[in-house]
Amino acid sequence: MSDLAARLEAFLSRRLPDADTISVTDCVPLQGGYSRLMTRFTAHIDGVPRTLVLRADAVDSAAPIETDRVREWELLAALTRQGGAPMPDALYSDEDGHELGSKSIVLDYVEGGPFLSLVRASDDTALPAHADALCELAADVQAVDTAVLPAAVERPADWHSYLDELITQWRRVEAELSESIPMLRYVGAWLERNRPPEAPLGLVHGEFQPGNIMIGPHGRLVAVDWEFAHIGDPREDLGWATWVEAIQPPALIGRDPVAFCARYRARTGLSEEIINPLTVAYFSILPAIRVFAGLLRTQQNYVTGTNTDLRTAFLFNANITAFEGWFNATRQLEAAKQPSAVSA
Amino acid sequence: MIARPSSRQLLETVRTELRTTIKHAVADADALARLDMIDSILGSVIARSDDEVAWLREEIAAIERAGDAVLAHGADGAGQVAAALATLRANRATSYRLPDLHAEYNLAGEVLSRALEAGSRAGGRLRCTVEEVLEARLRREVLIRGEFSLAGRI
Repeated sequence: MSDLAARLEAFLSRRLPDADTISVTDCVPLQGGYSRLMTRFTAHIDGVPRTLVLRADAVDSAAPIETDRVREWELLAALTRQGGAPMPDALYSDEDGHELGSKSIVLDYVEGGPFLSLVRASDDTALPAHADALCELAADVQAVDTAVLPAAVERPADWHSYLDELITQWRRVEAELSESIPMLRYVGAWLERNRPPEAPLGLVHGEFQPGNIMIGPHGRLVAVDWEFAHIGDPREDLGWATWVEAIQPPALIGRDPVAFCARYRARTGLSEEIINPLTVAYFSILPAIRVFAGLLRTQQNYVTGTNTDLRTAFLFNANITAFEGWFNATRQLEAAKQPSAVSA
Repeated sequence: MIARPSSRQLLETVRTELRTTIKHAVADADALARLDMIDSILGSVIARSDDEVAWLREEIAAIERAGDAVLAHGADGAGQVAAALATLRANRATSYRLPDLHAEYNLAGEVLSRALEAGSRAGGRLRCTVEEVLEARLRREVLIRGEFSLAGRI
């Protein structure tokens, strides 16, 4: 038996004291993410097999992006208790890592497989249906009642102060780094000049894109990897997905953004002033700082030699891709706002 | 020292070997993803290897011109651009070593950041002038990066 399987058996035994026998088999690492270690395994509880997933911090603290596993657990546990959120149930956690070797969460396994694999294997005729499914999932996330979220999840006072804070992050993150990054300062100034209309705040997944989506029971999509979840502007998820699909084709939102926005409005009741391709494009830039702040700090450690992780080195090129996407988006949005473009 | 073959030639040989012989001998999905990451990194290092010093010098000069343009337009209200320019000019690289030049380039980056913010406030032609420097910097970064996709994504 592997060391991990033995640890998991002991871990589950402490949480299921009424079970007579617990064994763990078939521990298989899952590919796909850069930030956390994911392992699928089968727990046999009194002889009944159940497939579960262990989501753990890297033991060497070398992950390209650091996030708070305890906060993630509290949020997932609250959503699981409430029920209905589009996510696999979060079952157990090792909040300090003393049982499983690093901070970890155990979740239900989603049998249907990765949505990204399905999308990539589909021909063009299937993409509209996948875009609709993605839209439905985004609306499901937005519909979650934020009142059930734990105290660790910050509640912004209002939309304006929330947006102020997010824009300020672009300058603040850059100021904390030893390297000057003019693109961050450019984007910060541009975001300030081009604020969109106010939207009601709600639950935001924070890294919403096909790579973090699984096909659940009855074909319903569920979102995984909630480490960046927060209360914010619902357009953040639409914008992040738009940005990611530019580097991870095929595009689902970008193939017909007008239709996608119309469907999202129909599901959420939000107005066209709030949800349209231009506001979504603004949010393809704004929330990126949440993910990139952690990455940039880790990359600074790489520059100073305290981090030597290959993934961190590789992701310097992701920065350039982001810079390119942000810059082009600002130019396209400005062009689209010109009077001649509106009347065309 | 052995200057030829160049670093670029040697790295291209390594990259080709990894892409052909080594990659085809590897079956493990995680190891293959890591090989793709190594290939991407090597591609960037190769792109930089012959021209890095010249590119850094060109960009520093362009940034200084943009900073001077902000001052000439009277758009440096609080003197932020002037201060960053003065710091840059007082701390030139004192050797041909890349780390020294990188330090100078970093100071130039702060000049560009402040010039972009000043240009954003001023608008008009000045904003275009400063943003053209950023755009040229981005074009070069994209050239160094080459093709990019998220290695290992299933």
